[in-house]
Amino acid sequence: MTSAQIKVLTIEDDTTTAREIAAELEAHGFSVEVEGDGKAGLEKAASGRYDAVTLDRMLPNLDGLTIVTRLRAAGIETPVLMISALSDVDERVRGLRAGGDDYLTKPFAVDEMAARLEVLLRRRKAPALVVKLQVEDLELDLIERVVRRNGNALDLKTTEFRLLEYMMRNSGQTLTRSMIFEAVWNYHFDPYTNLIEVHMARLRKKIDTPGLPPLIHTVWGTGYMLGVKD
Amino acid sequence: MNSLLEHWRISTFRLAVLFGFLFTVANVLLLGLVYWQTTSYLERRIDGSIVTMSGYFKGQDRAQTVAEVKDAVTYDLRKSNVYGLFTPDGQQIVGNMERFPKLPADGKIHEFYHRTLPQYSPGGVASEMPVGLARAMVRQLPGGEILVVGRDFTQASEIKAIILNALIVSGTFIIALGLLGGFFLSVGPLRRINTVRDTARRIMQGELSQRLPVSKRNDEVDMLSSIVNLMLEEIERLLNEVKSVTDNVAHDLRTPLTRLRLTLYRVQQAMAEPGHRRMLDNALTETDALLARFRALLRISEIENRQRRAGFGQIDPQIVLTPIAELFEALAEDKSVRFDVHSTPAPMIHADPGLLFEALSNLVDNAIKFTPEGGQVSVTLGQVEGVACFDVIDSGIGIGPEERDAVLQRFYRGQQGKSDGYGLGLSIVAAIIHLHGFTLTFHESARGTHASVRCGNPQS
Repeated sequence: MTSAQIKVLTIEDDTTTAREIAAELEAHGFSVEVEGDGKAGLEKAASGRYDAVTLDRMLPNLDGLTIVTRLRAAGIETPVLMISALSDVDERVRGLRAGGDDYLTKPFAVDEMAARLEVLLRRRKAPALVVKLQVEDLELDLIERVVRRNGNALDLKTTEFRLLEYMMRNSGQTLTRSMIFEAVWNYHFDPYTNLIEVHMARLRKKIDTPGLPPLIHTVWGTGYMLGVKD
Repeated sequence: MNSLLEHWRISTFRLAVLFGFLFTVANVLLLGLVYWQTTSYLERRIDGSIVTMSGYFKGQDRAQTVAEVKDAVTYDLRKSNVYGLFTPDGQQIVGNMERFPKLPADGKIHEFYHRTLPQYSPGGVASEMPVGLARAMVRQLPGGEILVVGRDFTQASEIKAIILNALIVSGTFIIALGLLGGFFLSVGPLRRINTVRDTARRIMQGELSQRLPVSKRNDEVDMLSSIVNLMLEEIERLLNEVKSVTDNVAHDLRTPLTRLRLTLYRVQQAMAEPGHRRMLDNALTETDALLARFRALLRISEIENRQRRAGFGQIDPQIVLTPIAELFEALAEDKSVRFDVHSTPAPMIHADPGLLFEALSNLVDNAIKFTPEGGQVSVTLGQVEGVACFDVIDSGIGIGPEERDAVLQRFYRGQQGKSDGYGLGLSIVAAIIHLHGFTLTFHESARGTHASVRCGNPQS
């Protein structure tokens, strides 16, 4: 796919935040359209012309929760990343239940936002049922629960297996620490200290053995990525 | 016993008991007076007739006395008199007494027990008279014989006994009634105080909209309740004001902080010169730390403001322990700290598993962070007094007794330990534990820190 074709609608009433979101997404090669009003935002999103939507929770005229509810009611399945100043866990649950695909709390890091949006776009394209994941010479068999690198079976613990599965499903994508923590451990709070780093280091030791080209890469200041670095 | 003690604390009950006591004293005095008056009247009357009867025998010789006594015994149809003429060695010459009474012959009246001889008893020769009480005067006649003149006192003593009995029975009844009355009088106020206590407890648990009940009677308790309710209203208003100010500040800070992070990041991306890039990297790291702290603060107030609703349920505490073991084993190994997790069967708990996990992982994270290489951290789940209990024990630097409360305050960081914590972790733990109604304790420990989370309400 060519990134230039991907169109993102950013519904955000704060102009500075909207500008920075747009700048970051454009840097990722997306074309971005910004809308500051809730009602107009719903109309645009409902047109189905966009591949993804970033949606502020509180907007003039129509709030984000209503927008996503109406979109889903109208049968529009465009991935929606909700961005909210309301961080309450219940708010998050409400946002996801209404049909949001992911939920990000302000203040947020724009690279985190972009990483999450990319994963959402990818998830939509990925076939739902896979039995085997493959990235270069790394294979993960979901049924037999075996991992092979360069043909050699690797001995992974349950956690490491889950972590690797998540990274392979999203190979080539930057994954932030909170995204990993949420997806692998299903918890939604700031992971402490270097918890994720330690788990990643362990996995890395088993996957990227000396002599093989490394597959797990650190994206400085943001997170990790599995794949071949270009 | 407890409930009696509780009643004793109620002023109505104490008043009722005090009145009961005073009433009892008055009653005892009144009946005592009646008793004393009646018995002394009876004694006076009988003693008077004894003196009269004994007067008949004055100045008579022996033969006359014998004849008089014999007549008196014969004609005493009611058998209420006691006569006896005895030789100096106690042999009855004439009279109706069974035996010689051992009384001094001093001419004074004495009370004693006696039995009338059978031949003088009303039913006939064979029947026996019962032993009765009598009062009699004993005198020595000039010839040496001893004359006993007296009167049966049995009936009078029975009347005395009846009065005494009435005194005791009525006194007992009055005391019992006083206690019972006091008890029932204090039931009402006690029930109201209990309602007030329960309401106050609910308010302390965060249900600030609760008010104390006020009845239509408008008595002293109602007046107090009204005053407290006014205070509560004011407190609720102030708290809401503070909360909305905090919320506004937080909201107002969120947007500029977001913008700052966004701008810095964009400049960093655009900057090619390595020196500038490094400076911007540092600025971004600092901004991220700022954002993390800010998020933690918001998280604390979010947890503190939360009601127990979504997410709470009856759970097996084991489901919280398993991921802790899984998640932190790697962290401990990385720091060369020994890490064990044990569990024994524990009762179900009412909790939000996500929040409880957050609290526990914070404690475990701290334990690993503050334990030097080669040390040990153990996490156990068990039960204490029928309540599930998590213990996190480390062999690290420990928390001094003077620091134990301070560590739960926001932004407090131990003086001894140098770490990259934001000093907010334990405040989050405290907020979560408080929300659940659990207790968090830092125990005395010879080495390191021993934190316990007791998953039960201390009141229940």
